[in-house]
Amino acid sequence: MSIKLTSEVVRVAGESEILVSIEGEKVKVEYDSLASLRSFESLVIGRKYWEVPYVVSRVCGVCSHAHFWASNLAMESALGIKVDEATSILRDVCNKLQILQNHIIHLGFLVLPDYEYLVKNDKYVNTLLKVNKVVNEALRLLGGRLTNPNVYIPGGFTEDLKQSVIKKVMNLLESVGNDLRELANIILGIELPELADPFPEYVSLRNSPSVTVPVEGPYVIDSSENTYIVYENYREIFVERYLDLSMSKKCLINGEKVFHTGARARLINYLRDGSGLSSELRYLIAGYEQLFKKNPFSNIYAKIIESLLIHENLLQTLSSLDTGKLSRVRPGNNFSGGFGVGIVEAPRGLLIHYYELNPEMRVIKADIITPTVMFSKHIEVSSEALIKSLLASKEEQNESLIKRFVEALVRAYDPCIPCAVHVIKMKR
Amino acid sequence: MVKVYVNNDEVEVPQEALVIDAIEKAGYEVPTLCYLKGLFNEATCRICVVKVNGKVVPSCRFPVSEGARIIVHDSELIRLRKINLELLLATHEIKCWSCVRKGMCELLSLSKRLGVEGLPVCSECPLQGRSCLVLRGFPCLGPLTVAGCDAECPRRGSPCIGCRGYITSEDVWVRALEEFYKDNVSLNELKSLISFFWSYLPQNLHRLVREVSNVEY
Amino acid sequence: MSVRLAVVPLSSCDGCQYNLLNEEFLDLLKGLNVKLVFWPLLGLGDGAETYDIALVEGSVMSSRDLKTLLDARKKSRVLVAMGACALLGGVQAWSSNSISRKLGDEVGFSRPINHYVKVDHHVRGCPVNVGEVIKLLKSLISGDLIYVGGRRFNYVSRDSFKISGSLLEIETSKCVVCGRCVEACSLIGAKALNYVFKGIQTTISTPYQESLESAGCVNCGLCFAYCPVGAISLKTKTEDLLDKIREGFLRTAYIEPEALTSLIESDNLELGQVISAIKQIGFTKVFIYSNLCEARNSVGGEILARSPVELSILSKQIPEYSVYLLTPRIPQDSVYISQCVSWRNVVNSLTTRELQLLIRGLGMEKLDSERPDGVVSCWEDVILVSGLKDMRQVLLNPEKPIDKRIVFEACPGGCLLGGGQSISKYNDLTKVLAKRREILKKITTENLIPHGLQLKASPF
Repeated sequence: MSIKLTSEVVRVAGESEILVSIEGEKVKVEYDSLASLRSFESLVIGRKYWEVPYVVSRVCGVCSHAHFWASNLAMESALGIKVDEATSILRDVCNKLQILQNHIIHLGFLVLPDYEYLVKNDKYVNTLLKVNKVVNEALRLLGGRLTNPNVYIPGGFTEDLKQSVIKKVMNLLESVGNDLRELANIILGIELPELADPFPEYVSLRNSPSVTVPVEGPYVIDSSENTYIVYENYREIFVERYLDLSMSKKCLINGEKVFHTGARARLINYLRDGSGLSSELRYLIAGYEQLFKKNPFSNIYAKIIESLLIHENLLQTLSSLDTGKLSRVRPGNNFSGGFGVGIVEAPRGLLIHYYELNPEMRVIKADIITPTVMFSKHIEVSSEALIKSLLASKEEQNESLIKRFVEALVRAYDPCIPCAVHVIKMKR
Repeated sequence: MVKVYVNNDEVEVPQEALVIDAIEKAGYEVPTLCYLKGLFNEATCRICVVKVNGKVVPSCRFPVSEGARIIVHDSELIRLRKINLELLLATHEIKCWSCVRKGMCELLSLSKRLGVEGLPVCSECPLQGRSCLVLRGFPCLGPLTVAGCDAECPRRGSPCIGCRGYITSEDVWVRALEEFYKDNVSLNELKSLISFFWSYLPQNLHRLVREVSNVEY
Repeated sequence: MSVRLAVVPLSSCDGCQYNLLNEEFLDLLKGLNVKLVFWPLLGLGDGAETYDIALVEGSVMSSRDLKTLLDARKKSRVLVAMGACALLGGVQAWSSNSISRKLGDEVGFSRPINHYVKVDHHVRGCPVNVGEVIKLLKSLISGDLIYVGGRRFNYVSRDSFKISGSLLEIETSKCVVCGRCVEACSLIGAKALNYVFKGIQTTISTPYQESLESAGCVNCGLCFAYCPVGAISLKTKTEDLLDKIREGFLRTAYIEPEALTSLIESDNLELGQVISAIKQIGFTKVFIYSNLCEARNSVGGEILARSPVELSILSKQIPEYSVYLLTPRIPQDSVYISQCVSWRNVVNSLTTRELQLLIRGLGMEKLDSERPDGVVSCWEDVILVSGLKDMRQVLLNPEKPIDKRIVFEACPGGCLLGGGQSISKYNDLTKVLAKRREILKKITTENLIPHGLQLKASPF
């Protein structure tokens, strides 16, 4: 059969479009952004090192804590500043709270209408709104604001944090433990569509869900096949190319392989070398490991399980955290220029920031690779596999059914179009 | 005791009461500036104006009378209060960064209530003296940004980057630029902050910044 | 009839939309009977609807954005520019984006939406504060809308000058001629301030623009307390004291019960929180102390002046009586936190008002609860008289022999409404005084602080 359909995908952050073309046996899917190029990599050129995080946190209002953190890390490594442990841990806590919040919003508002089972469940929405409110408040207490944080700069936090604030955040998190478990029970009961992942290579930062302090370069990135030590060589590992006749550049690992990143990837890697969390969760993740490796839709399961994991991890971290006197380090006077790489786990996957500074500490070159860019090719190939399997099944296929399934798949990845700063080009 | 009607609600007040007492008893509230019950009710600021039997009067001083019909808010009263506030602001030198009432400015709370934008973020910022970023020589756009966010960024030690938009009054800009010069705030860094959100600065303000750039530092 | 609301996204980071996704906003929609008819983020609407209110987020960067915007303007009755992108063009408006143009991408300059359509209202911020959006929606729907706009009158500069005294100074450029200071100065008996000049040049100053002391100022600080626009300030700044504290020269704080009361009332704090705040400013020990204790050192037959203000006033107005000044006897390395500005030149002192600003700077979340390190107990057999009128009455009344010590508090309402006290949010002084009296009673009884009996008639 011959079908050509274009559909604007709603219920994702930003505006994007999926183009499906079916000619008999050949299936081709293209995933393109409809958003304009805001080009943050050219916006930051010429700016001083401390201004850059404020600009790049506005790349995306959804995962802005991750961008803020990554750019701070990159600046600190470029300037040779080492911050104290409590600062690193606190920044990681803020980032994890944002990941938790992102997952909740995604599972609640964006994914909800795709699954009848969730729509019918009143308790689901109410519980979710409650958890959302509590997590928002916790994030506001520590990170200043929900989006565009204003609490730390390269070198440290700008004001002291009291132990009583940490206690408050802990109390807030403790109050939603049961609700999260209830949500998990509901979500893990959804029947996901069947799909075999055509390119099951996944990638994530080592120890990301459990260890709270990322190693400040070089970064260790695990994939299903390899472990990469990444710093200035990130461009050789994450390569952007024009593929096929697509308008967009796509990202391939080592220039060859399509891969995915995000909650699914993190949980699989966690099983390999994660430690320090309860055996109950470990057991839960191990039970779903095969599913995570196989089915892209299982990202939804991965998100709620990761939420539980983060919740437990945060309580553990905060209970032993002593904010004391957070110190602030200033850059030295004899800086002769340099570059820095900051890699963090954003809600949707790996996020890489790279900056080159001149001796005046101003940016001369910037590069940002976001997780959406990394897995956009994976979305396309998975969609193609999904359509092929739908066509192969005995049931009657029509356009609207295909559209619904493909859109549900796109949403399971939770792409974030504002993040895709330069690689996904605008559709003409 | 006399009976008056506040917004059609009947209230009974003592003979010697003032209109503002009747309004308070009826459960409404009038914005005020100079009124201090127990100390001062000379009606000099004219912000507390209400209508009594159709006539516009200052409520803090006007006495009640039997059967008076008092209207607390309507579009004309709001318009008049706004004009009165803007007139007061026109003779008040705005220098919130070094003002002793920053953080608890009554002109600001009135401005928010009456819909007037013109006071900078400094008016709600609790940093004062040597903890103020500008007075320490750091670039912060607080003196030039429209107030309303409760100074959430300077409060936490981050400079204000002007996300709420610039103040349009030239006199505030002139004074703020003078203050930046006095405290040795780097003009280049300031211009860099201005370029964050204020790429469409109006001509007259743009010219001010250009002129200051020509002065020798 | 429900109100139809649309959230229209252009080129942005979606941060403002995400901030709206919370319980507060959704509850509001239910409460106000608002129906969300178009919001692509939630998959609502298909673009064919019309609506009453449109919240536009994001700036115009492409022809697609422009089309969406013009469409939204046609379909909506009220258009609101939400956030810095819609109002100002956002961070992406910086002109270096012309570099992207050279790369051949179809990106133009980012423009605010008012370059293309008429904008009815706006909400500022990046991200917007959800509270402000809610407030705007509420007022749009209820009809009590107040249009928000910039100041329409240019600044009119008058001949301005500074009036100085030993403790206070007045900047007439800030004066809005409300007259509160003139009234307060007259009430306390000093009469140092008045209206001068005429027409647009009218301002408040000493009669011949001479120094405050020459005009009769007694340094009570009531003008400083009541000026709503900050035209009157203290000459010596808080930092100088704070520096000494940070360097460790000043370690202990002795705080008056009236000062504590005032902070508890004005900022809604608990005693423990105030003590905690004082310690966080840098003091190691905090004692509650009232200078009424020093009454034990007076001889008898004198009027006790609670501060240098009363000394000034009494020596001028009732010179036939001898006056004893209750100077606080505290160690050299300590600070006296009190309700009076006049101690500035006598001991290291901090006014309650300065403390109020410091506490607000710390932020409520930072305050724990701590106990004071001690209470300096004192002789309680005194009577407090406030106001010159009451004072004269007491002295002239032949039936009331002066067998108890009489303490004079000059400020109208007594020391609870002193010139250095923190600023209450109420503009009803009788109410503030009543509240503070209640709190003072509670503190003194709970903490076993002996405090004098108030001789009361009218408060003012």
